[in-house]
Amino acid sequence: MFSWRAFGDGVRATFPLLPGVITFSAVFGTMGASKGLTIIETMGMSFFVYAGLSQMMGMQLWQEVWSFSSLLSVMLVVFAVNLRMVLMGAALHPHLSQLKPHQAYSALLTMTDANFLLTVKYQKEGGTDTGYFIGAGAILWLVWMVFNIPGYYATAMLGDVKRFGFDLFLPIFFGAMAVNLFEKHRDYLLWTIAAGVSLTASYLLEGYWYIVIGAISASLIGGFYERAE
Amino acid sequence: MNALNNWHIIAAMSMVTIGIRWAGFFIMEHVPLTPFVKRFLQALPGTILVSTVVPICFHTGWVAILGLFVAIGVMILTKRDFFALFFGLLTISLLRLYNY
Repeated sequence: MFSWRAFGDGVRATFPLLPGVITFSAVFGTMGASKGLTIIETMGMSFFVYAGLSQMMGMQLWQEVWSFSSLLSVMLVVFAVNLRMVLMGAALHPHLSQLKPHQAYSALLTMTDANFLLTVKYQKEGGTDTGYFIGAGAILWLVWMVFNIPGYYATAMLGDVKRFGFDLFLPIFFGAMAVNLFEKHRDYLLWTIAAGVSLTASYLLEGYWYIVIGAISASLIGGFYERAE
Repeated sequence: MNALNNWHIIAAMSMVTIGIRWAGFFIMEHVPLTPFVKRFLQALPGTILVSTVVPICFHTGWVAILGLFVAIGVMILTKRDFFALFFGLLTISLLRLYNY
């Protein structure tokens, strides 16, 4: 099912997050200007890539002259940073498979951490309408692009965003959203496993593999874990 | 000739993120939704969060961990994302203001 009513609810559900998204978007615009991209290229990346953290990391690796090896390394970074979205797409399958395949794959183009998590919460509260996911994704996409512009042209205004803790926006947001998802009968065990495995993996492995390893190993155990009601 | 320009790089990054956005859903099109798979998928969102948050905060230090606890506490008390984010980030910026 898709309704515009749920689309609107999805749009509204993102409002608490917009100050953070706007700040990040402006910071990314600033990075684009400092690396010598045009405003169209900067916004083009926000439109076509639409994945905040990996855009920033890609921008940090930006070259004046690109070789194929530096292109491959950027692609690898983007892949590693966003690997968790593979799991999110899998988790959304039961919800989005009520759409026709081409609609579901189009809807997935809007997927980010934020509309994924808002939708999981929405489903937990009994929501089934796919408009919610798409609405939240669409407004975040738009805001993410538009606020590149002030950042691009007003580079000096922002200063060091780290001072305001914005480098930790993602974990703080995730922590708050986790409160919504906690299931007593299951998650004391599973979340402890996820925390232990991911932390261990983060010491042993390069990059962001720890997210995937922690989430999959704990969820596999969750697969065996019968609901005790 | 043959030089890679910015749009090539953007296109390559875009192909990676689109592939990733589609991959999980695509895989599940071909995996039967057994009770095991269903429980696996239900457990995923929470464990993704925990596996992201815990290592990042742990490696960043106690300021991040404290900010995280504030955000979780505010979330439990108020059930509002905005307040949780606000007070979590406020805690971190105040601590950093005083050079912790």
